[in-house]
Amino acid sequence: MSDERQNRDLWQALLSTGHELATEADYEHGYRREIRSDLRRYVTFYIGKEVYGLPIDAIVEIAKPFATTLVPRTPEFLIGIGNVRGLVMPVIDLPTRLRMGRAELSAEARVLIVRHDGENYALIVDRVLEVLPLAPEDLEEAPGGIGSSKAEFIAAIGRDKKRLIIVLDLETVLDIESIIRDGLRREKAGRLNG
Amino acid sequence: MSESNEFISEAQEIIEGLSRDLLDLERSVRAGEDFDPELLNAAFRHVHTIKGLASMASSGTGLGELSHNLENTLDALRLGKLPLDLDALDLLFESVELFGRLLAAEVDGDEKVDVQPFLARLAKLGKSGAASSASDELAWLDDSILGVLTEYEEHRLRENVKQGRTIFRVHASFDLLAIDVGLETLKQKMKAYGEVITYLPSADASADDRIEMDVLLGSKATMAEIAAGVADDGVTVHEMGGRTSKSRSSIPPSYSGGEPPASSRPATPPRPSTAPSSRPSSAPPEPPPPSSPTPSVKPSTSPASRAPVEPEPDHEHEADDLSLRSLSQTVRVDLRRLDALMNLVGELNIVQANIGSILESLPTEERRREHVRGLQDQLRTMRRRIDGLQSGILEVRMVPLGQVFDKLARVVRKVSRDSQKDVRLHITGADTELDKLIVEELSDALMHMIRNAIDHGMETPDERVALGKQAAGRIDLRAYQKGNRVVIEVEDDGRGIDWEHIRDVGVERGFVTREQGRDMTPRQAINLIFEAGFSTRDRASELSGRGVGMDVVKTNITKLSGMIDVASKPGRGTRFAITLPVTLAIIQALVIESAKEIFCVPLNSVLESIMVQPHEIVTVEGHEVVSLRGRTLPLIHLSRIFELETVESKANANLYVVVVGLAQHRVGLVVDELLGQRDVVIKSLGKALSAVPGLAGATELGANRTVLLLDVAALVAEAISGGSEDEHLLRGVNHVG
Repeated sequence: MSDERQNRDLWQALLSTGHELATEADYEHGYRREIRSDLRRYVTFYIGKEVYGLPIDAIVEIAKPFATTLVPRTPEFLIGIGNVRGLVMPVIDLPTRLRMGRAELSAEARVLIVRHDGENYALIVDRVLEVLPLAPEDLEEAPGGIGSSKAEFIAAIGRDKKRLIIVLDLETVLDIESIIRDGLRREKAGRLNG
Repeated sequence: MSESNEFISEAQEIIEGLSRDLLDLERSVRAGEDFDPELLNAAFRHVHTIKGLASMASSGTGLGELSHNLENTLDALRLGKLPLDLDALDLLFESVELFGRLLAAEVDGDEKVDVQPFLARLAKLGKSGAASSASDELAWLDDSILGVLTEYEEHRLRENVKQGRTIFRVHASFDLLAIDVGLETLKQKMKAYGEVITYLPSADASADDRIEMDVLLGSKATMAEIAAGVADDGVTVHEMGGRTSKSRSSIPPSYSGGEPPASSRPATPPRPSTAPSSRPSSAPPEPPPPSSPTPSVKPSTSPASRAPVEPEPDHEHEADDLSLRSLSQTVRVDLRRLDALMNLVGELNIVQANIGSILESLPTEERRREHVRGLQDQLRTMRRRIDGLQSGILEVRMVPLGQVFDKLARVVRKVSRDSQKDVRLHITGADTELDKLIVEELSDALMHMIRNAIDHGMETPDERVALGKQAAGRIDLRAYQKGNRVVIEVEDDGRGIDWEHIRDVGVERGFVTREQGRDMTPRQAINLIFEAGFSTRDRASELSGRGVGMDVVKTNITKLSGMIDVASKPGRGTRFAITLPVTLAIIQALVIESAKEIFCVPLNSVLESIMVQPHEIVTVEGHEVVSLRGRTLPLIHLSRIFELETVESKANANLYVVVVGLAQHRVGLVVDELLGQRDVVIKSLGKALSAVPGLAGATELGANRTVLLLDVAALVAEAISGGSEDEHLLRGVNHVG
């Protein structure tokens, strides 16, 4: 009884890591299933009720929310700058950035410190879930038909069991500079017309 | 014991290096090749380092004695006083092993290693090896060259001759500003042909901004090959001699570059044999007379007679120490390393401040008061030490302005000659020191200004005489320290700036509108020269370029968070004054508060802080201004341009105004509070936020508080170009995301 239970747990565990149990064929022909090297591990987290993911190699550390300093003349999703062990980095409210309303900053809120293009950024998320390996075939690149406003931020949709994981495209999520510049340009144009 | 461990590990590393060098040497010697003299040098340096370490670790063992004697032996080998043969190498290898045992003894602390037997054998080597007799291989060499060679260089020269190489004199001319690059390139090229023996600066300066160098090269290649290989602008190759005895003295030295032979070295040798008259085409390269009497060989090169007697060793040591000390007088340090140190000191400052504030917040119970006081004393001491450390590191970065001024003196000479004007340069304050980085950035700007002063400012001698001035114009280059800043002034006594002419040209070329031009003050008009592309000349002058001069100057100075002021009297001259911060690494900042947010303003752009009463503020076309000592000062409210939520403004309360300046502009920043001055380390905001106008960086202000540093340059530019100060420059931004 307890054996069976253990087996099932093992089965589940293996499923969730993308491996499968050896089949009869495997036993016959030898255990030939190589460990897959194309699995990428993702850190998954909640924003609202949706599950998002970022490749684990982009993440430097996961911290609790820290004090930030307001930076004027920046978009609303940019909460300010924070200092993590001597490094100053922009702190981004990810829900606001994805146009899903402000982060709640509950006790479960966390800051993902990500490294992109040689610089660190802090992303506030509602709750961090787990680290999940996903195989390329479980990922649907650039899914069509998502007409939502946040399609530009989505790199791929991952499928884990029946759950959908929205893998974010850091390139667009962190493209703050162009937003600031756009804002400046628009403002200038507006001033000339007015 | 930990210190000792450090010493052991360091010494071991060095001995390993020594062993590697010896192995390489042995390979060459066994193969019967000529060994690389650099290897012997390296071995010598390694042993010298061990000697230094041993003396510091003050070990009672024979380490010091061994390294000292070994050093002497290696020096003799290096200078060719002893032949490097397999016997000598055996002994050297044995020393490596002996070092190992000595270090082991040092660790265990008991076992005594006797170095005396080895030292005795080492001494025997020194005696047995009667060095090659100091012969006359260099007799052909000009005395003036021989005289300036060091003992080692002379030895290498001999060695090259002995190996049948020809000595070439490669004459090269370098641009003063690019000499380090040029020399390195040339050196690399020459290394392919043989050994670079020495560099001799040449005194026949043909141009003010070039340096002539003679490089002695020992090579087996022919002159044509070398000439082809090193060919470059201003490089010529001359054969000097060498190739012992049966040398091809019949081959007359010739020249490749087409340039006439750089006429004999400054000090013409007294020896009649090399008198230029005897052979018009060759001064130094007299073929070596095979059996000429030993003329003026330096006494040090004939140690053969001295070695076996072992006389007054003390004297020799003294000489050794002297020469080695001069080697290690200066250290070249990468500026980035200093920056890193500077950063650390900045962090230390913060820690110190944090401890202080924690201490202050401690509950003060009666009996603890004494401890607290003790702690406070210690903190003050710490503060002083950190300050000392900080200024120590800053000092390392400091270089005197004289370096740049010397270059400028040459520019003055050249430009005045080219423009047929007579200009005297007067320099004061050449010993004023500035951050190396700033000095580098500054030289171009100063050069432009000097050129402008001569080209545009100076009259021709005839004009000057007609005006009742002295024929020779005068340019003053002054530098002096003023508080935390350095002021550099360039003043000429030329015709001055005709501000009306500048204004008219400005209107004509569309830099300002006709209406603006009409209302211009002389100061505003003169400031037009800082506009990009502004020039009053119809055609670009060859000297001052195409009107890029002054705006380049301004950009360069602004980048260094400096200011530039210009004052001019028609007919009397023009004075430019550049005010620069002493350093950029750690800056002093004024901490201010506006709408409950704290910001830092770089103190080097703050001119003063004033208090203004509300009724003093007047509005000019919607811009708030106050008048400050007769000058109109535009005001900008930090809280408004940054859209900060302002708290109840206390009507009728005095306003704090921080007067900031950038280049020639002045603007008043209206803030709520002045919180004092702090030394801060600037941290980058990163790429994402670099686009935000008005912010230069961030810094930490104790208690882990990150504070923004204002970009005064951008704010001033905004205030000047932008509309009214309360215009919401970035209204749209918040709704984009």
